[in-house]
Amino acid sequence: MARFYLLLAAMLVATPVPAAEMVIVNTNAGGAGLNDPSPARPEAGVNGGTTLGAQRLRVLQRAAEIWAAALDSPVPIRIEARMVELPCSPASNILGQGGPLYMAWNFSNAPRRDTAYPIALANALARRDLDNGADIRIDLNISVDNGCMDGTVGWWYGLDPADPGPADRYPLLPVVLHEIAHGLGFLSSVNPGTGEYYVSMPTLWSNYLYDQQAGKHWRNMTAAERAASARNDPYLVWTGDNVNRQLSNWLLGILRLDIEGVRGGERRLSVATAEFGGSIPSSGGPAAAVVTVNDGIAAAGDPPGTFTDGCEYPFLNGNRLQGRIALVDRGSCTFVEKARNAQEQGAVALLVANNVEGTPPTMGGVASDITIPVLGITREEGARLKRSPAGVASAQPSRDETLSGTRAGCMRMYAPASISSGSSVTHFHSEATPSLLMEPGVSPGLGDQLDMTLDLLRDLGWVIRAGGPPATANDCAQRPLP
Amino acid sequence: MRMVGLALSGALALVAGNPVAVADEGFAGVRVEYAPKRSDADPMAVGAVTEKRMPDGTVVAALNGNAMAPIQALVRDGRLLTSCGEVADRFDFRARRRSEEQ
Repeated sequence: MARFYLLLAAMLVATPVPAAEMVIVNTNAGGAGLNDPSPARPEAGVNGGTTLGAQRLRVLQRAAEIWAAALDSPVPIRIEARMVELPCSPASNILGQGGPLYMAWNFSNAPRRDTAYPIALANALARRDLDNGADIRIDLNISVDNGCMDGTVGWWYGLDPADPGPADRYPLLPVVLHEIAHGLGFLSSVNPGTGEYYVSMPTLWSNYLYDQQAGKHWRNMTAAERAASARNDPYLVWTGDNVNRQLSNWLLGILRLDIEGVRGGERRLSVATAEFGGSIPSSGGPAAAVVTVNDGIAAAGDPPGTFTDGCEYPFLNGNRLQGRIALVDRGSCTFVEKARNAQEQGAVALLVANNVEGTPPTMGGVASDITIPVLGITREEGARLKRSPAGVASAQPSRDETLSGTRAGCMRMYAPASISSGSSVTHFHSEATPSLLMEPGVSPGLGDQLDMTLDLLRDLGWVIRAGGPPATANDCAQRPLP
Repeated sequence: MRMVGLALSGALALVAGNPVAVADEGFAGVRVEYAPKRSDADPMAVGAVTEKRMPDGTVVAALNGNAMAPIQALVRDGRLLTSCGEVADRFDFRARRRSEEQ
C-alpha cells in the first residue's frame, strides 16, 4: 500500500496541474469552421487533428491549455469561439478578434469598489459565475484558409512553438494566445478617440495607466484628458508593480551605436535594427573600423542606385571588409541582399544609411542565413561616416542602460500620435525588444510565450501560477496607485 | 496510463480546493462544448452596452461587441504585417517606416 502512495505522489508531482478550467464553447455549426470535416492538412504530424476542423480546434485547445496552466481561477473560464468570415481583401484583412463579453463591478470580494473588471477576472475574484455564460469571445477569419490574402495561402495549425510554419502560412497559435489575453482583461475598455469608458464605471485598467507628462493616472482624468493622453507617446506608461519589477528580466537596453574617428569627436547614435540578422547582446556588439562599400555599379532606376548601395556582388573593395563593419546606402535592392553581400565579403556587421532625411530605416525581411547584425542609421550620419578617412572611423553597437520600450523605469504603453482603434493604449509599446506577446504587432515567431503579459494580469488581480524570475524594484513600482 | 495521470492531477486540484476540468483529448484543463449559433449573425456588429444590476449590488455590463480587439493583416511591399487594432499607414512606429524592398 505504501508503494502505491509513493507511486501516486510521484505521478502527482510529474503531471502538470492546471489551476483553471478553460471551456471552449464551439459555436460553429455542424460541418463548418471548427467542425469542418475536410481531411487534415499535412501539418497533422505536429497537430494530431484528423480533419481540418479538428486541427483548428486543437490550436484553440492548446492555447487554452497554456492559459489554464498559468492562471488560477475557481470558476471555469468560458471562451466562445468560432471560425467565421471576417472582412478580407487582397491587401488587408482581419485575422481575428477577441475580447471580454461582459464587465462587472461592485461584486462580492471586489478589491476595488466602483471599478469595472473584465468578467473572467470578476468571476475569479467573486468565486462564482456572475454572468452564467461565456466570458470571452474569439472570432477567427476562416477566409484566410480560402486564400483571401495575398502572400498567404492559409493558417498554420502547427502546435510546435519553435515552428511557425512556412512563409505562406500564418501561425494561429500566437494569435489565439494574444486574443485570449485581451479577453482575460488585457485591454483598456476605453474608446481612445474620445476617452470615454465603454461602460458607466471607470475600468480597472485606468488605475494603472499613467501619463508622466500630465502627472495623472487615467482614473483621475477627464475623458478629454484621456483622449489626449492616448496619443501622448512616450509618456503613457503602466504603473503596475508586477510588470515594472520584471522589466530587466525581459527587455534589452535601447540599441546605440558608438562611433569614433569622425569629425566632431565621439558620438553615440540612435539606430534601428533589422527584423533579420544577428542580435546585439547586452554586452555590446562587434567593435571594428567602418568601411564604405564600393560595388562599382550605380544601377539605373528611380531613384537610381549608387556605387555604395551594396547591391552588386562582389564588391570592388571586398578585400577590405574582412572583420570590418560595412556601410552601404539604402536603395536599389532589398536589405537582405545588402546584408548577404556584406556577410559574404567577411563584414562583421552592416550599417545601412537612409537615402532620405529623417529617422534611421527600420528594415524588414526574413533571412535565416544572415548572422551579422544589420543596423540602420540616418542619411546624415552615413554621410558623416563616409567623410572620414578610410579605416579611421570605427563603431560599436551597444545597449543603453535604458530598457527598450520603457521610460523612467516604467513600461510604456502603445500611444501613437494617430489613434489606432483597438490598438492604442491596449498594448505594450511596440519598441519593446525582444517582441512581447501583447504588442500591437503579433510576431509569428512568438511561439507560445506569455512573457510580461502574466505580470500585467497579476497587476490586475489575477492569481498567476507561473513563477517569474526574481523581481527587481524600481522607481515606477513605487508610484502610488489611485 | 495517461488517463490515470490526468485523473490524478484533477484529484490533486480538488484537494487544493480548486475545481479542475478533466483534460480533453490530451489538453489539460481544457473542455470543449458545442453550442452552434446563427450562422448569419454579423461578427462585426457592435451594439449598445447594456448594464444589469443584481439584488446584491453587482452590476454586469454586456459589451455587445464593444472592446473587441481585432488583429489585422496587411500585405505591403510583398510582406505581411500584422497589427492588433486598425491597420493603416499609421500601423505602428516601426512598421510604417518599414519596407523589405527599398
